Amino acid sequence: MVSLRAWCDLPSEILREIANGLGLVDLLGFRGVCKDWRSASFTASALIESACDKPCFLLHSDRDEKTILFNPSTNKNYTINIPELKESTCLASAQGWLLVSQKGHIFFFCPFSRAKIDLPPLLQESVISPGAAVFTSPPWSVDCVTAIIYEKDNHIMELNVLERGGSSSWMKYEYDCKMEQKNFSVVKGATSHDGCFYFMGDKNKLLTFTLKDKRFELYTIVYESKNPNVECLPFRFKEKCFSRNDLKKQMNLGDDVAISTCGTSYSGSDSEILIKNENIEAMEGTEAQHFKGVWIQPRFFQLPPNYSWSL
Amino acid sequence: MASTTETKQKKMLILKSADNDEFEIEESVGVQSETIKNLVEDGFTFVPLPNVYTKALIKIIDYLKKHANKTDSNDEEIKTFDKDFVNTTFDDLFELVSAANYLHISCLMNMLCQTIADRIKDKSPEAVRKIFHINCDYTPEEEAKIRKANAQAFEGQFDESLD
Repeated sequence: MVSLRAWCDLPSEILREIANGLGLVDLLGFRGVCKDWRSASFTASALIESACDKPCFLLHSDRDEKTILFNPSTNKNYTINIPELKESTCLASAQGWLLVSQKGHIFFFCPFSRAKIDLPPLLQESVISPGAAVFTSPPWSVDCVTAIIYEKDNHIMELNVLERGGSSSWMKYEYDCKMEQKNFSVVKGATSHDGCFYFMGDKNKLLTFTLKDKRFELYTIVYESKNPNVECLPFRFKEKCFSRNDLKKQMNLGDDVAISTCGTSYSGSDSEILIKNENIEAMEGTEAQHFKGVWIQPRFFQLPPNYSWSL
Repeated sequence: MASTTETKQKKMLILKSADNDEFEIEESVGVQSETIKNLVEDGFTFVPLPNVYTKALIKIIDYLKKHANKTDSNDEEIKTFDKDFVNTTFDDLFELVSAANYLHISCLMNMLCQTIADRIKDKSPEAVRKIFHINCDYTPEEEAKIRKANAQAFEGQFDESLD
């Protein structure tokens, strides 16, 4: 005897379990099947994607809310409408969350669930790009600390720090490269480890800032050394991830496309990995079409209905 | 002392399916199901399962027997068994997952749910609705909105097949 039970009568705990086993794109599809399936997938976050250690690349532009997501594990491209990323710049990306700057507003954003957390405004009107940012843990964590760094004036780096459990506004710290007779300007990536922020500059410079004593320190990165006093970086970094993997071709983009990318930090199989920011130029002689892009873990996070940034 | 009695005379249980078929199994095999375990602890040896049909119950008893004899050396054998076990139609998977959920066999539940998740990979919501016989209860406006926010595969990348 064959039963004639309907799949839509499946208990929500089973649907939830199935949703938990889906990757991002399939989870988005699952939510589109019917209302029961959508509500059953409330806690699903595409966790399965964090097991694969290759972040995806999300291409967006100022002109259009249409974005392109490229998954390097499957070599597939998808288009997704994400209006919030129009006229926005990603400053940092980690654990499926982006830190976004849009016309003076700063917010955390999960582009696939479109969960958004507004942060207090930065005091100055200045454009923080090109700069870089980092956050220590996901924005729902009470310990989340966010730091944005940019070159304020000639040779002065301004660091803005926001601690979720601390002050309700950004704290400013300045590092005067000129006074220290040192050279640090362009920030090409940022990550954090154990209460310390790491900002990668050009020419192998590294600026660190420790949260505990609020101190800057400038280093030069060397690749091999016999000096026993040389410290080890607590992460590995990757440069030119976009161009080295020939993503323009993989994503079917023309030679006239120019992209400024925001890197990400993620856990690789044996260590933390930082993908550095990168500028991809259009081919010479073409009229460049400018895009922005960000490396991102394809996760799906929704905020609890009573969530508020301030504790 | 207890172990000697067990080897001499194994405690048995009778399971009765929704279509009134009865199956005798060893208690040690049956208690991998939380639902059966709770009944056994309350002294039951006859277990009616009004939510589990015979076809699914036969397969699940097979699964429980195989997994009750898990040792360090038959790991590969069990993996092969599991792989064959889930290699079946969507309708069978549906019966099995409902039964595993009712019987509270968590390892089987996890395996079946991940199998279903893997099988709906790359399928469009329309194909998924057909497979699972689900009526879409979104209004056309809602659906258009969802479609926009969804990841649209570049043309031809969705799998529209129903198996």
